[in-house]
Amino acid sequence: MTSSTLLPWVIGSAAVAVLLTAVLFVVKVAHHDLTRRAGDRRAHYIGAVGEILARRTIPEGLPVGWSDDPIFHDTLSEFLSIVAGEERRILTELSSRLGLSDRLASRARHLHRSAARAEAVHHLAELASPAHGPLFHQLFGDRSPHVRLGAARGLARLGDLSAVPRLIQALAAERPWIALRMADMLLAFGPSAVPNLTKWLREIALVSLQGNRQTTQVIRVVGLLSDPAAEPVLQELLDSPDPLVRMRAAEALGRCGTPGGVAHLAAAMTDADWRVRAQVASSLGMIRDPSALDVLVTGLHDESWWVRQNSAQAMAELPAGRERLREMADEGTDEIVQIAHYQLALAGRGGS
Amino acid sequence: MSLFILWFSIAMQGYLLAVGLASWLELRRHRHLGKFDRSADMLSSATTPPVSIIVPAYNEAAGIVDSVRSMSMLSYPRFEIVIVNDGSTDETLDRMIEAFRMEAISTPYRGDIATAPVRAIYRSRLPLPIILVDKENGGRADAINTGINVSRYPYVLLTDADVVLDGYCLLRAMRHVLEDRQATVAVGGNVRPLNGANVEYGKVTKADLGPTLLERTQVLEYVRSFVATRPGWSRFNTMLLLSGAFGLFRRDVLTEVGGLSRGHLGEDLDLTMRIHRHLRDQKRRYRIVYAPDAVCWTEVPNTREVLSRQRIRWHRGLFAAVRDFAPMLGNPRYGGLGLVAWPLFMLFEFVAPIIEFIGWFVIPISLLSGRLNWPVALSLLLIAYFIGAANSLLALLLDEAFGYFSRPIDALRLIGVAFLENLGMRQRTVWWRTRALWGGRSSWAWGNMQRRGVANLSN
Amino acid sequence: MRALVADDSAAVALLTSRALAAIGCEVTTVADGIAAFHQGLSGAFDVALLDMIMPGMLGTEVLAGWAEAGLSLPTIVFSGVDDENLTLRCLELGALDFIHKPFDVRELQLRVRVHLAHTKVS
Repeated sequence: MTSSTLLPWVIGSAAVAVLLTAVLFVVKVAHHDLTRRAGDRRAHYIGAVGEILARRTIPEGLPVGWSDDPIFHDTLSEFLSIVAGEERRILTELSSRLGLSDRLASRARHLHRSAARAEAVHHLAELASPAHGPLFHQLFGDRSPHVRLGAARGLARLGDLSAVPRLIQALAAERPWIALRMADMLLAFGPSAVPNLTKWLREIALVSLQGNRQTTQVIRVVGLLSDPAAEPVLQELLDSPDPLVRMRAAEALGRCGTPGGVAHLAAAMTDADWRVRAQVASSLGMIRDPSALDVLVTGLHDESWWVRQNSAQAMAELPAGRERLREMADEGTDEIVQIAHYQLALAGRGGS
Repeated sequence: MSLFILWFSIAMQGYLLAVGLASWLELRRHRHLGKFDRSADMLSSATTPPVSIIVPAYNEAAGIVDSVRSMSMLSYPRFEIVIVNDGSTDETLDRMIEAFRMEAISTPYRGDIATAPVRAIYRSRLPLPIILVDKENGGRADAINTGINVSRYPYVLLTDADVVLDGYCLLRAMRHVLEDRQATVAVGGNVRPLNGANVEYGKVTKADLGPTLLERTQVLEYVRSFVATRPGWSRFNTMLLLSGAFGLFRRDVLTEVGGLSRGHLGEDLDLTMRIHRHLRDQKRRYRIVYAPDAVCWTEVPNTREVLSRQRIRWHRGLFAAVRDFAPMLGNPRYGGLGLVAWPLFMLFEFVAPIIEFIGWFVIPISLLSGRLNWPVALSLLLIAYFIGAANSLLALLLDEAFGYFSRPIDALRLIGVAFLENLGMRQRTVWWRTRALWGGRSSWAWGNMQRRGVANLSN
Repeated sequence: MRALVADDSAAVALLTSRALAAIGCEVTTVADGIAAFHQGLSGAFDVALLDMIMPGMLGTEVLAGWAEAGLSLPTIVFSGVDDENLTLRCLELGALDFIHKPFDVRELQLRVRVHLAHTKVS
């Protein structure tokens, strides 16, 4: 090979390098400029909206460009997340005067790029206007998962309980990250969703033999909503063949269980799976009913380190339990002495 | 022979270019995922797994308190900071105890991994999740293993005492874990040089290039490595190296492989490769990914002596890894890692400097003896040079998305470095790396950079 | 009446300072914890509104620092929806009250007025 065959390659690679240099320089300058301008616009919007809220009147002749500017959407959404009451009403009025809701709804329905649709539905969810309920339902079937997520949020903010079954389905159908966030949306419904959730647990979860991600998520949400009405179905789930389901049920019972249900929960301390036993111990500590003490003491001698730890921690939550720990701190086995001392020290400092 | 060396250089740049393009695709995918996926909900969700941050500390009195305070302000719902005092001979322990009102507490200690003896474990009386472990000296790996033993959460972040972590780094790293919690065992982060940056109250408020050419060259190196290489590796699930400054691991996998290896110079590379080998041997589905938006800042050497020691240490670590993981080379049992990623990495990271070094002698001789003609040699050199510059520029373009170095003057400086680098700096690095392979054990110990404390918290 | 507002969100800072100005307070705004800490110590304020998560020092750390310095400054804490633990911790550290975001501006004004009246009496 000679240098003349190589020459085009030399020139070519030099040209690429020079081209990239130029592109890099241009991109940097443009980016710098854009960022500065965006910052200025944002500050301007914050000032303007703040002014409107302070005066509690919306001026006539608002700039039309606002409703097309994503930075304005962001600013408005930020304010919406901060204020409630009268101020929120003013902001909602502002957005309808600007035709913002309609603009956003149209963008959410028609734009091709999923990122743009997702942005529109995200802001619509912050506005949370009941008029958009049907739109949210429709967008819940969008092909982009982020749009579906935004729609779910809108439905949750509206408290539209008819969406709960669809959300539960989504927990199984969506990929892990989206399913987790959908579960958060379920939580946002608050205790009003509990009847729907327990109904699903009865009809589906108790019947099927195999637990799965969907079931465990629903159980977790039920627990976090802390409604004692869910206790019966959770107790039944303690008998599920899947240890993960049992564990989640035990966890949920810790959050929404009543002292009356302690006996049932304590019986699960004989479960074959250490994770379930460890969770039962923690849950007994959350309920703080003295009748659990004996079961916890047996937990201190369990073969699993975590069960022993959690039992001691739960005991430290009960005054009678702390007494027992103090006694054991003087006599039990080495490890129990250590655990007892540790939990007592933590309890003495106001808990960990 | 000379021709081979010249073509080799071009091939290496070609490889970097290919990885750079793969990185570009991966970063684009990330950006789409980014904005409306409600990552911020992680902050208030009970499903966000807790993380233990493990910080080995040896004679870090100058900056340890500021570093820990900065870490305690991370935006993450539940985490603990485990500082392991590795038998420091300065006032590291005392300063920590005083600043955070630590008291010794008899905590049940499970020694999942064998380590040097632990003297005491302290907890803070303040409402801060800080645990201090005082132990006898055993080296960084040993300190980290002790930290893993003490940690109680399912995920651990291995980092250093002198890094500044970005406030959202944990959130962003864990976000990648939550994409597939079953399979994700480790996440690497984006390490950036701290030199010249403005640090206020434990946060980096403005990144800068650093005053010297030495530091700026390193900025370019780090950008190439973390923005134009790692995302490409991540795309194919062949992350070969999780930096010691930021590596998030699932705790059970760490205890399975026995933690970090003691006395190893390239512990981070060694750990990552051992995890790959272990999981592939067991045929378990797993993924090790890279989080380009999980940022941490670290001080890089600003004198030639310290830099040379660092590079020599890195190359010796690389040599140890090449030796230990040689059976994986070209081994189909290890899939894409064994057949493609590891051999290429070994070739272009470990062998390349040696080949280049040999070229320094062979090429001039061939030219002088007429075996190689000038125009051809020059052409090939120029091609390698320009593609090299293009790689650096591509990396800088990809880095634009992160928004550091926003002033036009920075652009000029970085472009300058991109073109100047291969005219001297690179050759010096090649010399150090080649030199690393012989030479006595005298510089096998960790070099010490003057610890100036980086978080700049106390004003 | 002089009020100190500490929040890193420009929107919140603006809203709050406007709201308090409307009830006759002289408002100073700061955007990070360390500035808040030092301003509080200067003794120039009658009431403080503190955000939980700020750069530099968290709301809890600021309160702890004030308590240690023996400062008794009536403080109302802003809390986001799920900062439950932090909120409780703040109340333990001496904060008088907390306001959840999203908040009603009139409610904010009312609470500030009530707390100011109480401190004047005692």
